[in-house]
Amino acid sequence: MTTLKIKNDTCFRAGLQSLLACCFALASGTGLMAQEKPADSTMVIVAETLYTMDGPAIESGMVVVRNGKIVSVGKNVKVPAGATTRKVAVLMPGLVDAYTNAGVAGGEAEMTSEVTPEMDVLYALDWTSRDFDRAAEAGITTVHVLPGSDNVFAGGSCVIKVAGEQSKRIVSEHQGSVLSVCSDPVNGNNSRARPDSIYIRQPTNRMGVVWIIRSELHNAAGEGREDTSAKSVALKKILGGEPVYTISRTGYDIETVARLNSELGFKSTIVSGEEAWKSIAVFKETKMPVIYAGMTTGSETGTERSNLHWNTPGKLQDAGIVFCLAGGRLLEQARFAVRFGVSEETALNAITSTPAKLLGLSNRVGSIREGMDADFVALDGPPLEFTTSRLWTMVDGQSTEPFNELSSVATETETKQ
Amino acid sequence: MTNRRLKIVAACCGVLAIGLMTAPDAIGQLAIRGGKIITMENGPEIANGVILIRDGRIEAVGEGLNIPGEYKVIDASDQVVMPGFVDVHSSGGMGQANERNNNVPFLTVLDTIDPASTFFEECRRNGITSAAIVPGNSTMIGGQAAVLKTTGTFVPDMAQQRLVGMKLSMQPPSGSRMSHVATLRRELTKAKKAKAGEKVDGEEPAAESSGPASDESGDESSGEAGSEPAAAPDAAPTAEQAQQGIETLGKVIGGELIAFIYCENAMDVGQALRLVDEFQLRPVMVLGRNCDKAATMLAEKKLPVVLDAEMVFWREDPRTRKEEKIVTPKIFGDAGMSYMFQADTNPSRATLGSNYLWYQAATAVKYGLSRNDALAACTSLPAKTLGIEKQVGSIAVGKDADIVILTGEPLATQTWVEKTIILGEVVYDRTTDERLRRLLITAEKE
Repeated sequence: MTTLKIKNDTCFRAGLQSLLACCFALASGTGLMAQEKPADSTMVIVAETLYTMDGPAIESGMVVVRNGKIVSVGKNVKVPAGATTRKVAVLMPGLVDAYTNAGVAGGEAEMTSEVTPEMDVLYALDWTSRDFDRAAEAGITTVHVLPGSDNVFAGGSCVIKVAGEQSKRIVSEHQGSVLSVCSDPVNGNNSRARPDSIYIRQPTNRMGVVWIIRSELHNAAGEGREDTSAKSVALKKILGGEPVYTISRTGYDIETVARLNSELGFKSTIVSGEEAWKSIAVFKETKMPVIYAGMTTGSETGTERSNLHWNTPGKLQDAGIVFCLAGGRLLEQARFAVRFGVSEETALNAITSTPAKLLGLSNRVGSIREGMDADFVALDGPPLEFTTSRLWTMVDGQSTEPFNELSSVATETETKQ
Repeated sequence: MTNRRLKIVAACCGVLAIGLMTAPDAIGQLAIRGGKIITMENGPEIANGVILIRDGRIEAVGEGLNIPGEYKVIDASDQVVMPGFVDVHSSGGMGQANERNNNVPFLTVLDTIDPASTFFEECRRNGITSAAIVPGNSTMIGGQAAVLKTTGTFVPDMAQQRLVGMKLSMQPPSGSRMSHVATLRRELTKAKKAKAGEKVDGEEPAAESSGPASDESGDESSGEAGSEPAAAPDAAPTAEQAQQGIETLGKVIGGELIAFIYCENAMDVGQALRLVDEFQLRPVMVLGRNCDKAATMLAEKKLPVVLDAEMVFWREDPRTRKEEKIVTPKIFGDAGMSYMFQADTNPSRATLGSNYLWYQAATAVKYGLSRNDALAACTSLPAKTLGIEKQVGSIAVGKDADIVILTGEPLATQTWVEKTIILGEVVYDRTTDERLRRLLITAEKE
């Protein structure tokens, strides 16, 4: 845990990294790491179509990768001598999933209290969880992990990579605070149903949810500087303008969030937002962005009996509201979003650059630009076709599986025609 | 009697009313001008072709056909025209797919089909024009299957083939597989003997038929096999019904009717194949998702196979606990066999797309199936499997005019069904699909 704490110290981090790099180089030199590629080797990825998500797509584009970072991008970049070359049909940035509970082990919420803003989900992560393998397999390289929605103040979220060395996987150890303005914190709190319960939990209805938020934040605001308890500090951070991710699904809950925001002066990003289509006016007025996790092709009823609409993303797009798609299967979600009415550009942004921007990480992930993390997903065809499959995923310059070469891709595409 | 007569009169009025409502399209001649016609016959795709339809059948198809003046023309010259899709196995559109009585060969899906259910509407919206409606997967002898056109107000109007096969399940609802297979074999033997004119030994048929249900505990909710007598089965047969059931089951033996055999996992496939040999069944193997290990076994037999709706999933190795991604179309494709798809008729929120037959086909293409084979698996192959290839499954002269007009290339993300035509009648038109419009609400409609 000490390594986590000193993460903020950038000098130290840089030092640590170079130290590690040295170790790595040494190890590979002595042949101990025969299986691994040396960390400083240079790789060139040549893509028939390169979606940088930072300007228009480049035909026959190239990306040079060194030390887990993107060194250069373009149509004709200088290829360093001795660089290995990978060819793919399509290369795009590794996908960013802005809402997941991936890897949270041993219960997603602390049930002894409904107000736990001082807790961080980072410490509940199982770094070896298969959720991360599954994510990588779906082309997702960065995930925003939220604590479960059973507590009103659910705790702090974190952003991590899905693969790599544990200490290097953390992108943001405390991304922001998570609130649940929905009926999840209410579930199972009826004491009559559990007379033997050791917990005394509030709330028991949605009024109670709002009351807890209001009273806790009011108290924190009134406590002044002297209260230095972890909880108070965490609540003051919310009031001080740290990012707040509010899990809300129904239209009426989204409107409540808007009201609480303006009343108490914090800034929410709506997470889930299944009925966001009902609250377009609210979004237009408040400019709250949406991390949308309600794509469906089947059921018209979602969690909390919310009313799902196939083209909610299209409606958000048309109203000029910033949104991303979240909750796994991102490529498939983007494809259906396009089918239902979103432009191809918006759909691709909604799984790469937009979630990165919503998490304040557009300088590291979500697009292919010089200096950014070498996170990619390689495909064998147009990203937004159902018939396109993924070849490999790369996180920080390391492929999460054996490379699938273009030669094999070519034969595959031939048989497809 | 009067009641019955009244009903007949009412039915007649209904038919008349429908007839009048749809008269312009239903009767007479229709011509479709297609930008591209994929016939699913052996020839190449036809560019700028014409399909002439008369009295619900395809009269002519080809390039540069002259369209006589009396034909109503559908201009799809910037669109793609295909034969209507055929769903080879579905338990949609039924009130309840499984019986509590485990042995009900005398029951037919025709008695539980709801023509007004959204299932048939979804079929038309997604280009399915014929569907084999088959009883559910968890009844030992589940009842009779029928092929239906996906449009109509009354079941008799929809029925394309009233009796196409029988559903058998290798999955015991509870209790042991040993006794399940033994009971199934006993029932098939009984039917075989009855067919050969031999006397069926022992008990009275009615008692025999309901007996196994209580032995095997047809009552799914109790879950305690044999610990107490099962509740009275929903459909305890009379002697006459039991006799009828035995006779129908007799037609499954020797292959006059299809045996839709549900296999939960690979071991069931082995058992099923033995029954197929023993009783000369004509099977359609309806596979659960864990049947992938039987792929080579099935490939050798060259039997028609329907994959589980969940075609891509993760499986944990019981020893190493390592997870492996299972892609059934790839496994069966690599085994060198053709297969068909089924759509998920009860889509939970986790499924994105698996409720569409065309999406299943696109997924198979993603994992290596050729586009042509994928389209055949939704048209000509199921038609042949169901024995209705003379009527449907391709665009050819003399066949039913069951046609789908697509806005673009099949299986593409942005392609929609523009029109669905059944027996020369436009039964679905996207421009007037209010429900779809509501699901795809746009900003200006706010």
